[in-house]
Amino acid sequence: MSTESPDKEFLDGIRKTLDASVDNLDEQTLLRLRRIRLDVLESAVKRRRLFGIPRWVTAGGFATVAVVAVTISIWLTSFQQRLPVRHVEEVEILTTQEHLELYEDLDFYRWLTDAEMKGKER
Amino acid sequence: MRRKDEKGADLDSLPELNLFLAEVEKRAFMMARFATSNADEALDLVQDAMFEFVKRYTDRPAAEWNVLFYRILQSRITDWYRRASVRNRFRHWFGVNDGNEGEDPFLNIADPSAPDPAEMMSRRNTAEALEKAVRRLPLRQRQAFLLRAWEGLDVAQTATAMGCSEGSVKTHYSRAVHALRALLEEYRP
Repeated sequence: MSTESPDKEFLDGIRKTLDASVDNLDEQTLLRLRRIRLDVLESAVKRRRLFGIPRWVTAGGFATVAVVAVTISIWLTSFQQRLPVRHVEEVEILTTQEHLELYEDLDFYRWLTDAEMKGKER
Repeated sequence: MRRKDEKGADLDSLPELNLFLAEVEKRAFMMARFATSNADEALDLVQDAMFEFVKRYTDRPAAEWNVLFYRILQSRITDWYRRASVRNRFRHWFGVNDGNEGEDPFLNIADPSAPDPAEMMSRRNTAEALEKAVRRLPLRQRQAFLLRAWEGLDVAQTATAMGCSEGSVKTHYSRAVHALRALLEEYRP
């Protein structure tokens, strides 16, 4: 404690002198400092108008986008599952530009062909 | 509910920011002037530091603003110091002397309002001696001293503001106090 006391006294004196220097700054410097502060505050307001979107809006936006993305992916998955493609070979049938009626009634044409064959055999 | 202006900008922290900047601007100016010995350069440094502070840190809690602002200011002062050293070296090499010895900083200090001229002179002499002594300190010692002794930052905060270790802060501060003691011996009561 006894070693700290002279230091404290010395430093308090310096602090007071420095504070007095600040209090005695000339009017021109004070005006320029005030001008700088106002410019800085104005820039802060501009920045907040640009980037200060409320966080709940940002969070809500992200949540909405996420929900939409999940919904679309689920819908597409279920759509893909409804496709009657069971084998890779059938992809060609589905992607062909030709008339699909033949493939849709394939069983009928097979039966018709069999019936004709049997008729000929008789 | 937070207050907005007509365009939706959040204005709640602006009065707080204004108060903070008003509180630090004079001491920041003095610190910059100690480093540059020039009022215009000091004002430029304060302005740069304030703009950078608003750009980067006003979203942070207000309790951290002091340290963060001084970190930027000290960084700007150090950059200025480096540029000035290089400039002076070039001037020395090429023998350029522009005759500018720097303005007398005390021309910008208003007369104290003390009625007693002797006391006024004494205070003025003490302030002059102190400013000269602080200017004579090496940059890092001066930064550590002003942040610790004047701004009241603790060792950890000063280390953050100076971008160095706490051990370095203690060393710089201790050396600064010893140097000032020696330089201001005759002004001690």
